[in-house]
Amino acid sequence: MDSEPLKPAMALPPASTAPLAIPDAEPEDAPAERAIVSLPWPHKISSLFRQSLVAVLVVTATTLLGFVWQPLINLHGIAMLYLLAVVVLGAFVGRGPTFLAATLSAVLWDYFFIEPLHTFRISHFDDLMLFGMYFVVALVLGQLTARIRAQENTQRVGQERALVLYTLTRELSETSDFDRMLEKVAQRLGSLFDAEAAVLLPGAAGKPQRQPHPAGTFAVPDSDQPAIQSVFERGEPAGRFCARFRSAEAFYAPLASGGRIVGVLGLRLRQTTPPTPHQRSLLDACSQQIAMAFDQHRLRELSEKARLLAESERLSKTLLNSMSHEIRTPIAVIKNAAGHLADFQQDDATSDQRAMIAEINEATDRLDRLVGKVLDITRLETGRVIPRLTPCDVRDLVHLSVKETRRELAAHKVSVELPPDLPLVTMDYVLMQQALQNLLSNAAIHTPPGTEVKVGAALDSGALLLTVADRGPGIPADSLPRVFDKFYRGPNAPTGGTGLGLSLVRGFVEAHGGQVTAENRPGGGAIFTIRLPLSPTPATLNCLSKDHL
Amino acid sequence: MSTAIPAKKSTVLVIEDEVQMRRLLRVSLERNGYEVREAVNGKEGIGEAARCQPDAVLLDLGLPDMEGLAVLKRLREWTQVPVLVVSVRGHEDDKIIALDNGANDYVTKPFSTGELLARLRVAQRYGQPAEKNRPFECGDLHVDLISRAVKVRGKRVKLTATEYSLLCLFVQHAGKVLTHSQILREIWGPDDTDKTGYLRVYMAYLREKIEKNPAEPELLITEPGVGYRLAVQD
Repeated sequence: MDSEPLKPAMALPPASTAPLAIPDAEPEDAPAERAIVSLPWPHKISSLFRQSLVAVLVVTATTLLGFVWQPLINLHGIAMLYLLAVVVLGAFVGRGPTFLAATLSAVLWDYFFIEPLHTFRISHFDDLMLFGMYFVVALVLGQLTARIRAQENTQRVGQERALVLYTLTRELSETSDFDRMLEKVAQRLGSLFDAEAAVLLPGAAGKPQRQPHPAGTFAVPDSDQPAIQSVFERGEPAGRFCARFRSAEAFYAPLASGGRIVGVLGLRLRQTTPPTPHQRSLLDACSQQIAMAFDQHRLRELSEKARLLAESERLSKTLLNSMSHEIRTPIAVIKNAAGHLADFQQDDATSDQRAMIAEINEATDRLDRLVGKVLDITRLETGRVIPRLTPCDVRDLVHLSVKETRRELAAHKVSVELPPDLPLVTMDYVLMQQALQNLLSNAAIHTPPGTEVKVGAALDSGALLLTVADRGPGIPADSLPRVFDKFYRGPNAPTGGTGLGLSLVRGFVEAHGGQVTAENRPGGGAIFTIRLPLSPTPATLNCLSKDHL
Repeated sequence: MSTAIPAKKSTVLVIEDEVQMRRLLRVSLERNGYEVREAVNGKEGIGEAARCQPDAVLLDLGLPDMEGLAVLKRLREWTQVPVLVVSVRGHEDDKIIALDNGANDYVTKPFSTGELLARLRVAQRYGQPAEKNRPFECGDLHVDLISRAVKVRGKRVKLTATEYSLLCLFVQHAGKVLTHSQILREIWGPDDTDKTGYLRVYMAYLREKIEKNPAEPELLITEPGVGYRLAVQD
């Protein structure tokens, strides 16, 4: 952890909101500007000192040359020599050192070559004028050359930067494979900044993955994790050379696209000095390109996923349709043929033959129900059950379900209890009818004949309750949590069930955002409760009121 | 089963891809006095319908070459022949779309012969809207569309305007299933087809007035997920 996290060593503006701005740096003060890509880059102060030294040396050398050539040329020729030196210097050093050279050369010229010698005085008026003019010309020429050079430098920096970004963008867009893309990123940034690079991606639940992507060229030390975490959370650079986590080994910059942090770039710079504004702005531009490439890749993956999903949905729909058609057609044939047999033999069939036909009929019905259940389970599991919600008459629903299961429950005492003022409830009529019928069939299978089965509906704090209560043996305590599981059958379950009915009930009810529960009743038996949340229906339709009738 | 053989043999065109199903339907229908024509796919079915001018069409919705629905639409471009679609359970949407596109009724696989024949008779009888001048009678219900009189067990029943028009609609299409949207469009107009709530409420009112036991309706039958049907006795 950083011991002084608040001390502002290098205040970087947030990368996600604004590019790293170049402060009032004077590029012309820098030496050969290709240092934007090759490091280490000499520090600004030391480079100014060095340049001044060069200026002084050049002027001194020119003075010596003047001494050597004095017998051959007069003081005007020497002035020209100085002028040449200043102009040439202007092409290589900054404006300050050029100014220094111009001044120094004027002084030295006056001291060593203008009468009276070895004084700063000038005796002749024309020499004085010459001196003045030389000074101005040297100053202006030097400054002009320096400015031209500075402009050229800025231009070259811009071109190089554009080229770097162009190359990076092209490489990123040429690569469709994400791992290859990251390798390219690590390579390019590594050579660009003379550094080792690592890319950290967000893991599950928005937390950064602890391990960097294997494409990186350095292993992120554990001690840097807090810095990375902070970049993910705040979207601002952190780590070495930054205000936060300065003691980290590497510099970490966010990769932000569309206000989202899509990753973190780690750079272990070989240089010991903080990155220059140029490096920072270049890094920022690169980060933006990389983040955009990441985002594009993500979108491409998403659309591919959606396409696959649609395709698999289409397949499963086709499969379900043909399954239900292919299996049900033979069942329909058997059932109809059995019906015909019964017709043909109405008069002269033996009771055995009639019994056999009845067996065929019953088995076919059972098979048809089983196929229906398996198909329904498949539809539920593939998410193909989407309730068609309409306001429904609960009385109608309950009575129809009871009517449809009448044959199964013929030996039971079925009673229906409905409050008189049930509102319309928004639901999928067919699904809820199937759910209720499954509960009733369940009661028919698991409770002895002659016992009571009570079907009820009630309103309870914003929900509709549909209940099926029996007086059978109840549900063993250890089975209670599992009765709605697929294929689960209780330990004493009679044969004939599939273990699918109740899981279908749960599926249908949950598709409505409701719940179904099973409990044992005091006094014996089990009660199943479907709880459906009520959604608002127009007030005028809420009650099937009696006053109208 | 085959009690009333029609005087003139009716022709039924069976459009069905399953050979077993076709053989079986031929046996059932011929035993009950129908003449049977067969087509194994939608294209052939449309051609055969044009050639033999059947009195009814039995159309499987799960045809291989064309969707059964497409066949239905093609047929409805030029003929009002009663069409009975064959569907499977769990495909309520298919049934609704078929009915809304001009199918007269449907049977759900697996169906019994008796059910098929009953639907076929209804479809043929009410293929065209019923004549208004004959009073409708079914069980306890007596409806005279001319005098606008509704009687249950001989007793006159007072209906509101909406209830009456609802009942009239069912009487005119007695025995035939009417989808929710068909009823809503007829009674409340084309803009109100999503107001199933009204329909549920008025159906409950109507049942209270005309059913012997509204909890177990014998006249106005709910067809789950599809609509309602006014039962007719054969």
